[in-house]
Amino acid sequence: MSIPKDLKYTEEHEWIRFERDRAVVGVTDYAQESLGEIVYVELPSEDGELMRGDPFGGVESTKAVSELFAPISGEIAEVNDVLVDSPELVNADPYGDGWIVKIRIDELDPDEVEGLLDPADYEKLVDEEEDG
Amino acid sequence: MIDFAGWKLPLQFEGIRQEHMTVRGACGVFDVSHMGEIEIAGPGAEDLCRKLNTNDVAKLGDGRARYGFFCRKDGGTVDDLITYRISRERFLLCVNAANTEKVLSWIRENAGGTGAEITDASSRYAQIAVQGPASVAVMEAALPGAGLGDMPRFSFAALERDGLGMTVARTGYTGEDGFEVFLPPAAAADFWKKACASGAAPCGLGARDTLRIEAGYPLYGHELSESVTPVEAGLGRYVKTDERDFVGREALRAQIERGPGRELAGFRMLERGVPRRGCGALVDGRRIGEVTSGTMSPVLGAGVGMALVESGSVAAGGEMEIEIRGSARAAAVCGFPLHKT
Repeated sequence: MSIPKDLKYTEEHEWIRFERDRAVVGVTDYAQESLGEIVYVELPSEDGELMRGDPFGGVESTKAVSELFAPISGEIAEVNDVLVDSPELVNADPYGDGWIVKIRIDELDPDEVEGLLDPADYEKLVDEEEDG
Repeated sequence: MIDFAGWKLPLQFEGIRQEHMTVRGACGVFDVSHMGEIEIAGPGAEDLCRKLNTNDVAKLGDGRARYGFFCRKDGGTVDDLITYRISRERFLLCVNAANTEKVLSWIRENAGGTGAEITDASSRYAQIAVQGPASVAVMEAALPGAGLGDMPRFSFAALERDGLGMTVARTGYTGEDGFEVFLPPAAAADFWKKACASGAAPCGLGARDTLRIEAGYPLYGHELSESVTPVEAGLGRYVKTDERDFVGREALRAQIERGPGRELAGFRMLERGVPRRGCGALVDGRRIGEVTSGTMSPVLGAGVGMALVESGSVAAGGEMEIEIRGSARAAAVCGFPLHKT
């Protein structure tokens, strides 16, 4: 299971990559593996406003449904439309082609960034869930 | 593996979608040993079965099976089951795992006077289902010389292999041709391996569910329950009220005569989204019922499901909306099986 070192994570098993004024968001390798074959990704409409913690979509596999929550506040700048026809990309490449949304952040709130998990913390979380 | 009514069951092997498509196109094998088996024996066996079942098992020949229901006095469904008539004095009932105990006590409560012997035989039977268009070839390779391909649907036959008796029935829960094999637990692993070696792909509970949803088969606890009658679930053809009395007859007959207030509608999503149990069903923004089962159909690549709705509110060929994640999305109302519409 892979947990890239250059990303931030959430307790809901999402990852965030900061690119200039954007935060790219997807679900982690652990999440896609636990969900199994992903058959559907519910994407938000573009140009919506998100507050941190807002539900904005979902990932559904043949065996489970997982809600997506905004890991950070901002405006939806882009959604990965390719997932409409190819939801399996989330399984195949969760940190790459399987990205889900890009959120535009005008001003990064330090408290929100503080609330995100480092790779080491996320790994600990996953270990605990696997043991539990 | 998941826990299901105390049984450890495999949810999937290679993946639900792949297993599903294998059963639609070739052949899959399922371990369904969790299913409950109840034996009814003795001179009163036929009388008892007739008195309990909404479907009339007196018209069954030996070696024939029939789908039907046990219902409460008010028509609510106690369980759905297949009755196998071994002889006039011996019947095998295949019931839902989670309902076995409940069904046993219900049978005993209603057995008064027949003198039939009622036995929970669940632990004596493992059950392996071989399903799909290639299932005849698989079965004939796994059990050579038994002529299983000639068996009519809903018939069954006793076989002996290596000193162990087994019962092979031409029944299933996938919407495809197939067989269900009742056998001693000690012989189950060997038969499973033989079926796999003969070309069947191992399948889990996940594909069993997506297959039965596409086929439009009810699952107890979803389409049927103590508060839903078989007539409401669109299964009135298995309720025969004419020739004999049975538990729930009056309530069910009245419901058939005046028409049930609710009915089961099959649907296929026209917009994106996966319908799930509990999602609202709407017509022109008015709630008419809710989804009882739903999934992403592997065959269609679209959401499909069943919904219990107000009678007459929708008709096959029409449209309704399904509420998914807070938005009403268009669905086509269709007949069963859903994957062939």
